[in-house]
Amino acid sequence: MRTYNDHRQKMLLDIQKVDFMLVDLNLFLDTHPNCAEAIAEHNKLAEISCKLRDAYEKQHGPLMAKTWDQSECNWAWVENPWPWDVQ
Amino acid sequence: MWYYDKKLQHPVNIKKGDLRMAKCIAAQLGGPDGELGASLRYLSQRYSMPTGKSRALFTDIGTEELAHVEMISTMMYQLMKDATIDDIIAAGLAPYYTQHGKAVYPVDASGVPFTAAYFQSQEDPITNIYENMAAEQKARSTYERLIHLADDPDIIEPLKFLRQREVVHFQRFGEALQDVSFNRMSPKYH
Ligand SMILES: [Fe+2]
Repeated sequence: MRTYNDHRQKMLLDIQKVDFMLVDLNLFLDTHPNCAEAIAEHNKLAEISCKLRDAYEKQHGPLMAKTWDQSECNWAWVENPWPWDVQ
Repeated sequence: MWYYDKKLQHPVNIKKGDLRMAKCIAAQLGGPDGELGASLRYLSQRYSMPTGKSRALFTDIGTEELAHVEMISTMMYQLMKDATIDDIIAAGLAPYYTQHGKAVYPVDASGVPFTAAYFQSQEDPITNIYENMAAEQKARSTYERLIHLADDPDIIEPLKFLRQREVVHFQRFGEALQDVSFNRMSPKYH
């Protein structure tokens, strides 16, 4: 078993918060696709999410199998913890 | 197609096992108003939706419900994983244990396996939206009862998050109803 890492959890929580706002805005925009204010907010959050995910993946491995860092020599996707592990 | 994101939509970290709550929370995994049925309902119905807005919404809510299936499954896993045989017998889960051990399997709170008979998918888009609005209300009510039954904040907090999502989905389906009704009034239908 791996040892759980507070720094990793903190970075993940920041991503969860931003990505949740994106999911919620996504649904709002589905029924209000011309709301300029929501689009601007979505674009701003999408940029923040990108940066946070990049930083997380460099230190703690891929969040998606396709966001694989080619410089690594092991398939870090298989590393624990998985989302259902108590963190 | 879909991609998997290696995180939960909202954190679930239950430190203390609780088979009584696992048994009740199963309702929202494999029960009639649960997350699995919700996801399959919207993802099946989306092919009959006439407008871009409603197709997008059904796809995106159906996808979010899959993230809720994962949260509820995680709760089940964490609530059951350290249970002893004595705990299992005391909680009345011996029949479940016989068939599944402590694995996560979609049943309702009484142990009845999940069935697609819990939801409909019809050609009429208005019919589908009314079903979905009712489904979101039924899921919200179920979450409220689960919150009343729980006493551990680690359990209550994610349940409150999931309850709130039902309220938002209900609101969005209501807006889709307006959109589809407006579309139906357009000349191509009359
Ligand atoms: Fe929902």
